[in-house]
Amino acid sequence: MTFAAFAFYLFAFAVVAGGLMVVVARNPVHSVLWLILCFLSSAGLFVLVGAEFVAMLLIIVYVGAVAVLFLFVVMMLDVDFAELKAEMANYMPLGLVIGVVLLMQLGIAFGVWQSADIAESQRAAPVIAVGAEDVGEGLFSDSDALLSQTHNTRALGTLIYDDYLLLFQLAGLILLVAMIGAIVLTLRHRTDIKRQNIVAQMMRDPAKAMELKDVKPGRDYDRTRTLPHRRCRAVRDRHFRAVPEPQERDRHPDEHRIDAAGGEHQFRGVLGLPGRPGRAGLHPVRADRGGG
Amino acid sequence: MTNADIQTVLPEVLLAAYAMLALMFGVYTTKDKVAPLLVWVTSAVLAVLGLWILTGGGGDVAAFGGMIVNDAFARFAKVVILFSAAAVLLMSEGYMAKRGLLRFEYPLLVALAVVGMMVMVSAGDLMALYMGLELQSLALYVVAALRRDSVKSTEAGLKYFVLGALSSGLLLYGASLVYGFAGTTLFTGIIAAVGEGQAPLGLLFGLVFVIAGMAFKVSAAPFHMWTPDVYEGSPTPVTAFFATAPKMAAMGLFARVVHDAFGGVVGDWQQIVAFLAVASMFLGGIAAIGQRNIKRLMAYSSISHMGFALMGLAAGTAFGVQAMLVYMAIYVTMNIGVFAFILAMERDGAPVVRIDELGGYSKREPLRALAMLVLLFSLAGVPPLVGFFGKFYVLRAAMDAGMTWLAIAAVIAAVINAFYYLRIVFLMYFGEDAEAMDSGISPVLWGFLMASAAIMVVGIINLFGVEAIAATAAAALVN
Repeated sequence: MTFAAFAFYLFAFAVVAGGLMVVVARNPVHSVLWLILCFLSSAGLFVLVGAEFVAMLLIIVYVGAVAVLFLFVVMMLDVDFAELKAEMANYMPLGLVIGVVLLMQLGIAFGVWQSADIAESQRAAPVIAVGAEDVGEGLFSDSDALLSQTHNTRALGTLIYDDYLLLFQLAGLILLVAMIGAIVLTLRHRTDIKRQNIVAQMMRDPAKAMELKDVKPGRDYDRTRTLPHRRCRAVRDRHFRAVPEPQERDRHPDEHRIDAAGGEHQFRGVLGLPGRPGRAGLHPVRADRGGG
Repeated sequence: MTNADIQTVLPEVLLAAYAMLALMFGVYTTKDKVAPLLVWVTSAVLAVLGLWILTGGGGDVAAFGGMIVNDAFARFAKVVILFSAAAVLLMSEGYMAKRGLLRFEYPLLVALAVVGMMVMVSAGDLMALYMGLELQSLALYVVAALRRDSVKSTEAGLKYFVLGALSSGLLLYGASLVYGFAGTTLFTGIIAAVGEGQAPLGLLFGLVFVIAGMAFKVSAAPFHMWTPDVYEGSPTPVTAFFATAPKMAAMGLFARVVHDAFGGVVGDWQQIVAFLAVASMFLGGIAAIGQRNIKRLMAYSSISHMGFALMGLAAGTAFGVQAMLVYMAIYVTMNIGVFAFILAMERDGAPVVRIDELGGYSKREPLRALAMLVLLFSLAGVPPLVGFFGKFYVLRAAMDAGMTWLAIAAVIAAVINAFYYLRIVFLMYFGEDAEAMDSGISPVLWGFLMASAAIMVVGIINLFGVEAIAATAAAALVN
């Protein structure tokens, strides 16, 4: 057995075993870790077939970004996985039966598998197309030389940005829709918090906002004040109330959208429907309510 | 990629560019306050594009190396999709605004879904097909869950999403098997690789998986389970949208795949499509009998109508495709009218969905009741209304193709289906008086309801020439 064959079986076994463990692992965090093993092994398989660019991409994008994000999400989600697992056990027998039948049918299909006569030539078509111009310009002697000398990154780039440009852009549109969808479904504008209104802040006049009082020692300057440190306070905010309310209130009862002036947004899961119930007795502290 | 390629997809490019510009406009101005404006503008853009494609003509053009095909068939489907989406958007404005659901993203998501549908019906490649399908579906999942504070709406969105992902998986698996057989994802390459006669077993598996995935999208039985829940849970204007444009797109896609890619092995997919047709017609008809919720009722009605449309496809002939196109155009027109009626069903400003509440409706609103009666008769296929001609065409297509048993089954199913349509008519005219509903109706809804009903009556003269256009479209697809 050559080294390449050994490596193939090693990676292939790791992919299949990892994939199985993703589904059956009890702890969701372990599932994600098994998933990472899957990705890494598939990257190895890609290297074996000479697609080193895709392999690196798989590691950087899937392992580096996606899987780690998964890990974070799984750790943060408050889902009772044990309950989900119990639910799954109910459907397991039926699922197994269907799965086995399907597997047997597919086994029959692959047993008599035959490709079309022209499949091989059609499969090679895009690859040849990649560097047809270069062959024409005399950079390569013929398409065989081209295949052995064009590196992956270049070939992929040419295909994606030339032949498959439309599909690439459509994929971009799909991601845009996903982004819009996530915002539409989860962004809520909270009104029970204090926000910063930059314009109002900037329009404040320091001369009016502060007032200097000359307080004689040993005398209250204002008997209505009940603050404990009233004696030592010489400067107070008097005109704080004159500052306009920072934000307009809700427009719709069920509509909490972000306003143009900016504010605190909060993403909440699609499932957590009406959101967090109001915490009793806990009200936002507003600085402009305290003073007189 | 050349200029000619871009020219071919210009309507799609323009619509996508419009959606992105409008999104930026909405984000940087007053957000939801511009939503009514965006609804009207999006609707106008869709209608203008539809008119442009309708009058533009043009031959049979393949772009991007055959990945996108712009032929008469694609244009027919695109015109129906664009006009129905524009109509439904206009109808939805009042309803959505009243319930605080009118977000400025809503018209843009609809526009992006329409881009996906346009790609679907002109796809000439399995990958382009999938991209269009996902673009469409993803936008639809979001609008289904638009009323995010309602459990039913989020359930609708989630159910649609999960089952949609499953069906996409089936479709992709089938596509990979087809690719394994043909060595290419281009339809032109697949049809060359498949050849004539009998498909080998492996390819047949791929074909079945692909058809199962598409059957889910057209909500044909036995892949229909999501339909009633999604129709019921979504906001009513969104339901109206689901019942029109996406159905035409999915049906167009179905026809394109079976004829453009598998036109050589008609015998192999014909029986599958015929089975889907029969199952949908009967299931839709029988399950709707027990329904008192008009939105669920319309869901089952759409399932059975898809069965009739698939019957045209099952014929496997050019005439069959023509019949399917005529049927879909009529179906979409009827549904716009019916949903205009449903959107106006309100009591004290709250929507009413139970059909028993329609009791005595004809005494209070004779004109609206009459329009609904015409539409329901048309849906049931009562001659001489236009809906009858739709059914007549698909029946003839099945007979011409020698599938007499299918035609007989369809007639029996049509009788079963007529029952629940006629029950609504009965309730409106002879039912026990229910509490009166709000008598007001917005001019837009009134206009669409009356126009749709009028088309059902006036159209019997010559079907507005749809027949001839559909014949050209079918000839472009089947050769």
